[in-house]
Amino acid sequence: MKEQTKSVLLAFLVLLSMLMTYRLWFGPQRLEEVSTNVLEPVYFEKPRLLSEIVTPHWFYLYHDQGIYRFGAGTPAYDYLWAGVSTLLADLYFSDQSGSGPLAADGDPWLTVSFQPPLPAGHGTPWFKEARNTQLDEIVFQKNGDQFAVLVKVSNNGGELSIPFDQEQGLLLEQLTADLTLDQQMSYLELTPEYLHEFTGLEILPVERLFVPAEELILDDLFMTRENLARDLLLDTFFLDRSLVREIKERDGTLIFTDGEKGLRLSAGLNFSYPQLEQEPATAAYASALNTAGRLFSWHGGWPKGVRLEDLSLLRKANRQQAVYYAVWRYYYRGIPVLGSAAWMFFNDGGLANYEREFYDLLTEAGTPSLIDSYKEAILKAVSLLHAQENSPVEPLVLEEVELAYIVGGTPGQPRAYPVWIIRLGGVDFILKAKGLTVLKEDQP
Amino acid sequence: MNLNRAKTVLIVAFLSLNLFLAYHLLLKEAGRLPLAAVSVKELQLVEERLAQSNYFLQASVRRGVQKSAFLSVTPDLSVQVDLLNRLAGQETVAYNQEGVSFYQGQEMEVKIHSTGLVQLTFKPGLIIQDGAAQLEQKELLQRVELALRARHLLPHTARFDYMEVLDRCLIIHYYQDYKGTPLFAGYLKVFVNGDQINSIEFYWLEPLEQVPDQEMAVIPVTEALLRLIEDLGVSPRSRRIIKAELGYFSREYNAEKWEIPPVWRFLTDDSVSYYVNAFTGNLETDQ
Repeated sequence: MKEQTKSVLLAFLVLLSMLMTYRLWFGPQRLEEVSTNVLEPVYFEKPRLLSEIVTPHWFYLYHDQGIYRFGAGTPAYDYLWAGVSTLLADLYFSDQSGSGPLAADGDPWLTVSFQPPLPAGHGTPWFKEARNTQLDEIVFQKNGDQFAVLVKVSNNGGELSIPFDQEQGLLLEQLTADLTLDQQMSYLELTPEYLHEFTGLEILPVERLFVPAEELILDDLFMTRENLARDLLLDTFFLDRSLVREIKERDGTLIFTDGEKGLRLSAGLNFSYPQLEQEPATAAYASALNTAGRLFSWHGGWPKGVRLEDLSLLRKANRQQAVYYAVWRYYYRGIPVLGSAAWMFFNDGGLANYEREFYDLLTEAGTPSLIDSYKEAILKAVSLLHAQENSPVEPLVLEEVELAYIVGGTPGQPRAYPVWIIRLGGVDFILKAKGLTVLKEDQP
Repeated sequence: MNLNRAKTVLIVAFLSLNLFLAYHLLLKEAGRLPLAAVSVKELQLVEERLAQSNYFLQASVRRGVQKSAFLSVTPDLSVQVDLLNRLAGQETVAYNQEGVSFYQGQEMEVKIHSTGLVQLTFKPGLIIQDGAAQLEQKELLQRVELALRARHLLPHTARFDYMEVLDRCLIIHYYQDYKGTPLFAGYLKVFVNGDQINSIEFYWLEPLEQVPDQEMAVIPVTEALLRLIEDLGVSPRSRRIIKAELGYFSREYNAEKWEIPPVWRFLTDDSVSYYVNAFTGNLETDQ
């Protein structure tokens, strides 16, 4: 009996030691369970390539005496950028690049403007072998069967003419030939002479301004607020959700905070991380673009038709350190939509402030109808300026004439209205494109 | 060696092995638990660190393991409603200025802020008793509470916190109690001048729920103290920490409902309260 008890006890001790050895060796959880607990980055979408973060502001195509403009939110824009971006990869310029004869004499063919500037040179997808710089505009020129490219360097860095061989020229020719221009709106340039012709005033555009040459038929748009998955959104901002508390305001606004950073969800989202505001921003321009793109991808992603509008290094009031400021805007069929945008401040520490309020198109509000032309809008702005300033000093500086949509309506049914945005004589005018009534940006 | 003896040796060997393994397993499990109580030595070390920053711990602290969870609250408007009902029967001047509602009755003036904060001034003051200035603290408190209770201005969940004298005015502080835990976000301040109560300031909350599933270990009081002096730095003069308690605190929100974190509240001898989030260790401010 005693012998049997010893055997049982020994067997039990052997089994117990095996079990405890296993637990010590492999841990208390199964491997599959452990793997689910590994901290993985949480995001709405994977960070985009630099060529998808920086995209042109406008393409201007000169064809058969006509000028055609392509903006974000159109298939032609995406198609052109895919082709042009590939071509730019292998182009090269150096400090010795000069203004060649073709650059001086060639006809503009395709102009690509950038805002924010295009980073060029080593480490970027464009002009890979060139020195690092930033470009405001690239002008492809054609003179018979000869081609050239003129690049305008940012910060008044001058213009450089760079080689563009016939093979590359033919590729670009094929690219532009694929565009169906019959259905495209043509544009015309507002020159001082032309402005004088219909206003009778000395008006000086500060830069080349283009307006639709034909009559435009547009309609109001019913919009719907972007609806981001709340749990996922919270996970992108807060590593440990168990430390996050919720505040529900009387108007239904929700605030989430862990005491250090806060996320406010109402019409859009508003995130702030005050502790980070004093961190420095030392990243180079191209690297800052990547960071902006990555943060935007993580915290909401890129809705269709949205493009990065600006990236600047700013010094905010009461702040010792500079900070990067990035803005995104939604475009509907190449027309910017004001009030459907996002902005962020970030630095070496990460995301310090972020606001995002995007709207998607639901449907057109009714039957499209003719809008007031740019001429009528400019004349209205002139009369408003005269009413404000009695007799403004000529020449009047014209900084902007742009057709846009502006989001207004009611909280339950957001609606976008076509408007003319005019900056004349240092004064901003937002005029409803049907009737030219003056709008305040927040009260359409 | 016979089989019986061999078994005995093996039993002893495996017993020793099991003891060794069990020790390491339990030690590992214990390390995973963040609920370790504060040892006397740890507390002494923290007291030394505090002293280097000119802070002196003179409060009893709970060294045991503690858990807590966010507490969901909403403003308690019952006192507001009761006051307004009472004023409704009187000749009252009412107006609104910058989001604050003013009610001037014959016996009292009431200011109600959008957050739910009520400031009530008695006209004239509410007499406690002649010679109140000579009363012992305990007796004074009893008189004050009796006077407030008679006017339904002292909720049954109010607990005495501390007193301070400011500009010859005695201020008695109460906090709101939630199931035996201080809810510092809810408070009552009674302003006593001489033998009368001049005014009260009242902000009360209605606790909604505490989700047991979200219960987590709080940081030990020693860690909270270290985080506090990290934030405060060295004090130019000696300050004593006279109370160290675990409770709930958040600033006043103009909101419908919100969650309040557990905090370590440290009260200094100059009547300043500091709130350290008991989950994150961050200093919670009332702004």
